[in-house]
Amino acid sequence: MRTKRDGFAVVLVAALLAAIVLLLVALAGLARSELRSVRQRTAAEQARRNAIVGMRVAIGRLQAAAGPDARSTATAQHVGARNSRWTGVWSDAGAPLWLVSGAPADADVEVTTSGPGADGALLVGANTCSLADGAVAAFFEEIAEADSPGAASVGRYAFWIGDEGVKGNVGVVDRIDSVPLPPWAEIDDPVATAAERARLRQLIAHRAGNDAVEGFALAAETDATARARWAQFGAALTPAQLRFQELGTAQETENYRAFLRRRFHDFTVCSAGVLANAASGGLRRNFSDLQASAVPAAVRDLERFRPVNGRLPISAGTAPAGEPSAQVKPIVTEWALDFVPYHEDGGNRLLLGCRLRVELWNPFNLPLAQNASGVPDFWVRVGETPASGLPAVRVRGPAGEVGTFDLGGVLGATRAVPLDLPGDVAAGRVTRIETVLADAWDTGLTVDDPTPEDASDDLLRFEAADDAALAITIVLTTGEGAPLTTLSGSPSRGFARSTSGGWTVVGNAPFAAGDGGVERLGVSYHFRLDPARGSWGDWIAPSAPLLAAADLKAVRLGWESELWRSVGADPAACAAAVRAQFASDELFSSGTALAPFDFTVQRNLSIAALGQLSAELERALGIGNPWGGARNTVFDEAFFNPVPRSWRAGETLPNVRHRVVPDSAGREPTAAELGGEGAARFLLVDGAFNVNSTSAEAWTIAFGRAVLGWTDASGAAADFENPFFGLGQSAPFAQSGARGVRQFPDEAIRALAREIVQRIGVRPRPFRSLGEFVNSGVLQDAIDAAGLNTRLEFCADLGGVAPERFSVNYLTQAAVLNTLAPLLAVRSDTFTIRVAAEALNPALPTDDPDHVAARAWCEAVLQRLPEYVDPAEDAMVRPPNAADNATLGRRFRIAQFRWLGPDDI
Amino acid sequence: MKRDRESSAACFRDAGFTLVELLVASAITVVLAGIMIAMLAQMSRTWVRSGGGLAARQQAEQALDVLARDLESAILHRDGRVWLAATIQPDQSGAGDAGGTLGAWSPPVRKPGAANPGSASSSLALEPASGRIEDCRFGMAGVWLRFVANVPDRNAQPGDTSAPRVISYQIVRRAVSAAAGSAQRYALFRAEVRPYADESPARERSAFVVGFDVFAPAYNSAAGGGNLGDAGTVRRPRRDLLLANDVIDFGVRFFRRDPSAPGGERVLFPRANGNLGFAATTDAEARPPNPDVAAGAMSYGFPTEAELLVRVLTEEGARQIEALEAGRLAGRGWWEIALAHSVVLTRSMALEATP
Repeated sequence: MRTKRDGFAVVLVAALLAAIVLLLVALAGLARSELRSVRQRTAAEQARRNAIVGMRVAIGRLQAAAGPDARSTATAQHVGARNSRWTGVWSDAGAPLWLVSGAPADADVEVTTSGPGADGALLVGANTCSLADGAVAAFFEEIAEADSPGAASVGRYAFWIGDEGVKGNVGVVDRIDSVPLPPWAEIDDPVATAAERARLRQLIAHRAGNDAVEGFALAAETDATARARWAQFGAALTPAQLRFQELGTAQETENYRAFLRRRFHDFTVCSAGVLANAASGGLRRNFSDLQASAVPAAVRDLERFRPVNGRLPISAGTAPAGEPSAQVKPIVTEWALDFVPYHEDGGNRLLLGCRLRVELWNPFNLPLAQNASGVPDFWVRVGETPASGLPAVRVRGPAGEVGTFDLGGVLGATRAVPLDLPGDVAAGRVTRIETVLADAWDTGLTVDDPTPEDASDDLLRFEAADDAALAITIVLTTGEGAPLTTLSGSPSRGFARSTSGGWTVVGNAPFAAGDGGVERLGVSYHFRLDPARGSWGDWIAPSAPLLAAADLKAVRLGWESELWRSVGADPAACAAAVRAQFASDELFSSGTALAPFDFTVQRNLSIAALGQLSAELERALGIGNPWGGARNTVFDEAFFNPVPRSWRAGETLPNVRHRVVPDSAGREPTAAELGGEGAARFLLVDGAFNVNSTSAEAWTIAFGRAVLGWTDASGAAADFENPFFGLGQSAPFAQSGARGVRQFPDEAIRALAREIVQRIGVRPRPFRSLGEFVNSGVLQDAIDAAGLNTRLEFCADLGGVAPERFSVNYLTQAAVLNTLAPLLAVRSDTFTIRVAAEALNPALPTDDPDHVAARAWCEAVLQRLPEYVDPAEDAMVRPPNAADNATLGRRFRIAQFRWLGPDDI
Repeated sequence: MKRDRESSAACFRDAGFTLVELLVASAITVVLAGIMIAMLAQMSRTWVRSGGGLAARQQAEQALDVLARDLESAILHRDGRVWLAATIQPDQSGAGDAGGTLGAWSPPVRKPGAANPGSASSSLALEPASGRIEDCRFGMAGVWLRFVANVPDRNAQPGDTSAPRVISYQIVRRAVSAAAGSAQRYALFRAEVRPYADESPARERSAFVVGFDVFAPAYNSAAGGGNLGDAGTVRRPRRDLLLANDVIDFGVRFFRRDPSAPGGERVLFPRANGNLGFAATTDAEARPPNPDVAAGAMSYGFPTEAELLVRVLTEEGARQIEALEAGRLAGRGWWEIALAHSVVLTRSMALEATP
C-alpha cells in the first residue's frame, strides 16, 4: 500500500512538472514570437528611417549640385558610360558631378547589387523599366551609430536622382480654351475674339506631341474619342497613371502598357522649369513689360507695331543705330538717281534731265499701308538733311569754258521727292517707282554740238573735284519726314546720254574723277544688292536694307525687267520661281513673292519671334538661326509672358506653358507683377524640356503636336498635323501657299528626333547655354539630315515639291524655335529621387541571410523654384559669390513623396 | 490469519488522520485557497486592465503608423482643387453601412455633443489650456480626414497600381452585429478609392476618373458607399475597412511653417474661431462648398506639419461606455468613463510634399 501511494505521488509530481515545463515552453515560444514580431516591426521602421536619412542626404546633394543657376544637366549617355541613366551636373568647372550615392567620380563603373559582396542597391528594376539598359543602381552609403561597438554599420542607403527634364512631358495638354478673353485688351487693334485666342496655338507648343510617338499609336487626334483620351493625360499626377489609358482592344491596351513600361526613362508628367539664365545666373527678364529698362527699344517696337485694318503702318522704329531694330517699312532693293545733260533741241542751251527710280520690296506677309488720305507715304530726300546738297561738279564745255554745276539745284530747296505708290505694297512683292524730277532743267550753259557720239566726243565733260565730292545720300522717309532708310553711294560707274527717243543706256564704264581723269557725259547713281555678296536672302532685313558699299553693286541702267509676280497659292510655282530667282543675276527679275519677315498681331510668346530683328551690317534673321552669334544669348536672358489687363489670379496665362508659383510665404503675384520684367520670380515652365536630352521619344513629344480647328483671317478652318509656323503671327493673314506653315507626318517628326539625338549624343558635354545650342546649328543639321525640306514624302503638304531655300515654306531652325523656344532649357529643374535603404543587424556577419533585417524604398519628386534658399535676396540677380545663395542656389521643394514596395522597383 | 488481521489493523491505524488533523488541514486549505483566489482575482483584474491598455495602445499605434505613412505620401497641388480636407463632425449623418442608422450620434444619450465647446461635458475642445493635442476633443464624431496620396501597391492590375488615390479616415459608431438591438461601438475606419479599374462601372467610380478633388460630389455622397474601392467609400466605408476598434476620438491639427509666427509655425486647423472645416486648396472664390460645413466655417491653407491624435478605449471602458449609452449605467459621465478607461496616442509629423 505504501509503495502504491509513493508511485502516485511520483506520477503526480511528474505531471505537474511536465505541465509547468509545457507552460514555460509555451510562454517562451509566445515571447519569442512576440519578440520577433517586435524586432521585425522595429527593423522595418528602422529601414524606413534610414530611407528618410538617405532622402535627406540626396536632397542636400541635389541642392548643392543643381541649386545654382549656372549648371547644365544631362544623363551619362553623353559620356557613353555603363551607368548611362545616371544624371550628371556640369558647371564651368571641369568634370560632371554624378547625382547618385557613393559620390563616384566616374559613371563608367560596375555596381554590384546582389550577393554577399553587394556594394549597391537596385533602384530601377524590371518592374519599373523593362528595357535591358533601363536598370539603375547606385552604391551604398553606410549609417553607423556612434555608440555601437566599432561604429558598426546599422543601416545603409543608396539613392539615384533621375532627371525629369530630359524626358518628354506627356501630361501637357491644351489649355488655350481656358485663357480668358479678351487676351490682348491693351492693344489698340485687337482681334479679341475666340479666334484670336485659338491662334495662340500657332505661337507656342501648347501641348505635348504624344500622338507622334510610335508607341502611342492611337486614333488620330481628329477623332473625338481619342481626343478625350488624350485629355486624360492632363489628369495624370504620376507616370504610373499613364497606363490607365485604354486603347481599342484589350490586346492593344496590353501592348500599350508594355510599351509604357519600356519608356520609363522617356516620359514624365511632372517636369517644370525655372526661367533662369543657365549661362550666367539670375532669372530671365520678361520682355513683355515694355516699360522695363532692360527691354531693348527694338523689342518695344516689335510689341507695339500692330497692323491697322489689315495693313501695316510704316514705322522706322526707335532702336539706336547699330542695334537690332524692329521696323515696318519696305526694303529698297534698287535705286537710281540719274542726271543726264542734253542739248536743247533746235538751240544751243545745255539742259539737264533728272530722274529718280526706287524699287521697294515689302518683305512682310501683310500689305504695307498706303495712306488713305492720299498723302504720299514715301518720300526720298536727297541729302541727309534738307540743308545738305548734292555734289557740285565742274562742267567744261567744248570751248574750254568751265563752270560749277550744282546737281542739287535740280531738286529744289527741300530735296524731297514724293514717291507716288500705285497702291499698297503687296505682301512679298516689289514695286518700282519712277519719278522724273526735271525734264529740261536749264543749266545756263550753251554748247555747240548737240549730238555727242561717244565717250571720246569732246563735247561736254563732267568733272568732280574728288571722289568724296561725288558721294550723295538719299533718305527714304514717310510723309512726316521720319527717316526710314538712309543710303549712300558714289557714281563710280555708269553714264548716260539723251536721245530723241528718251532715256537710253549707252555704257557702263568707270567714272573717273579728278582734273586729269576721263570725263563722261553724265552722272548716274544706280545701285542694287549684290548677289555676289552671297545669298542675299540671308542678309536683307528691314533694318538693314542695304549694307556697306561692298554689298552694293552698280548696275547697268536697266529697269525693263518686269515686276515681281505673285505666285498665289501654288507652292510648286513658288519653288520654281524662287529657284529661278536665285539663279538669275537680276535679283528681282522673276515673278516670286518673298515674305520672310513676320509681323506681330498678338503679343509674342516666344523669344524666337525676335528673329525678325537685325542690325545694320548684320546678317538678317539671325536670332534663332545658327548665324545669330552673340544675338542668340537672348534665349538665355529673356522670355515673353504677356498678361492681359483682365487677368485674375487662377486664370490661365496666354503663355499656357507658364504656371504661377507663389513665394515661400504663400503670396501669389499680382497681374502687374506677372506682366512685369521680374515675372520669372513667380513662374515655372510647365513641361520644360532640356535640350541635352538623348531620348528620341522625348524630342518627338517636344516637336510633335496637332493643331486642330485653326482658322485664317477669313474664318476658313484647317487642321494641321505636326505643324511648324515659320511666320507664326502672320500665317492667318497670308495666302495659303505663302503662310509658312509646314506640316509633317509623324514619321518625319520621329526622323527629326532621331537625327537631333544622334548629334547631341556624340557631344562630349552638354550645352551650357541656349545660345550655344542655337548657334551650334544641331537643330538645323537635324532638319536637313531628316530631309524635312528635301524628302518628297515629307513635302506632301507642298504638293510633293521640295521648297526652295528662303521661301517661307522652307523649314528652318528658327521656325521650329518659334513654337519650341518657350519650353527649352539646358538644364532640368525637376528631379526624381529614389532611395533604397536597409536596416542591418550588426551582430550577424554580412553573409548571414538575416544580416539585412529589413528593406524600405521611397521616392520623391523635387522641383526647383525661382526663390533662392535665402529668400531675402532678389531672385532676379545672380548672388554674390560668397553668399549662401551662390553656393546653394534656388530652393528645391518636395512636390511628391511616396513609399515604394518591392513591386514598384 | 490472526497475525494478518492484526497487521492489517495496525496499518490502517497508521494511515489514518485524526479528526483534528482533518479540521486543521481543511482550515489551512480554506485560508490558502482564499488567499490564492484573492490574489488571482487581483492578478486577473490587473492583467485585464494592463492587457486592455496594451491592446488599446497597440491598436492606436498601428493606426497612427498607417495614417502617418499615408499622410507622408499626401499630394498637394495649388491648382484650385481640394487635395486634403478635414472636417470636425458634429454628427455623422449619412455614414451609412458601417455607421449604423442615421442620427445615431444624436445627444444626449450617447457621446456628448459639440454644442457647448469648452464645457466639461462637451466633446469639442480645440484649444485646451495646455495647448497640447492630448487635451483636445474633436467633436462628437471626431475628424473626417480625407486626402490624395500615392501609396505602394501590388501593380498587378490597374486597380492595385501604385498610383494616387483618395484615402479617408473617420470614426464610425457601428453595430457590433446585425441583430436588432445590437451593441454599438466606436471604430476608426480607413477607406481608399481604387486608383482605376479596367471595367465599368468600377472605372467610373475610381479616383482617376472621379478626379483628385476630395470635395467632388462622388466622394461626399453617402450614395454609392459601402462598395470596396468606390468613390463613395470616402463617406461610407465598408464594414471590413476597420482600422482600429473602440476609437472614441480621432483628430488632427495642421500647421504651416512660418518664421514670422510665434514658435515658427501657425495653426491652420482647427482655428480659434471655431471653424469646423479645413481644405488645402487655392482660389478662395472658386472653391466648392464643403457639403458638411456651413458657409464661412472653413479654414484654408497648405499644411507642412501635422499632429495626430487617437483615443482608444480599453475593453473595460468600451463595456462601460456601451452600458452607459444603453442606459444600464447611471451616475457617471461619458467623458468620466472615457478618460478613466482610454489611452491617448499622439504623433507629430511633417508632410513631406508641399504644393
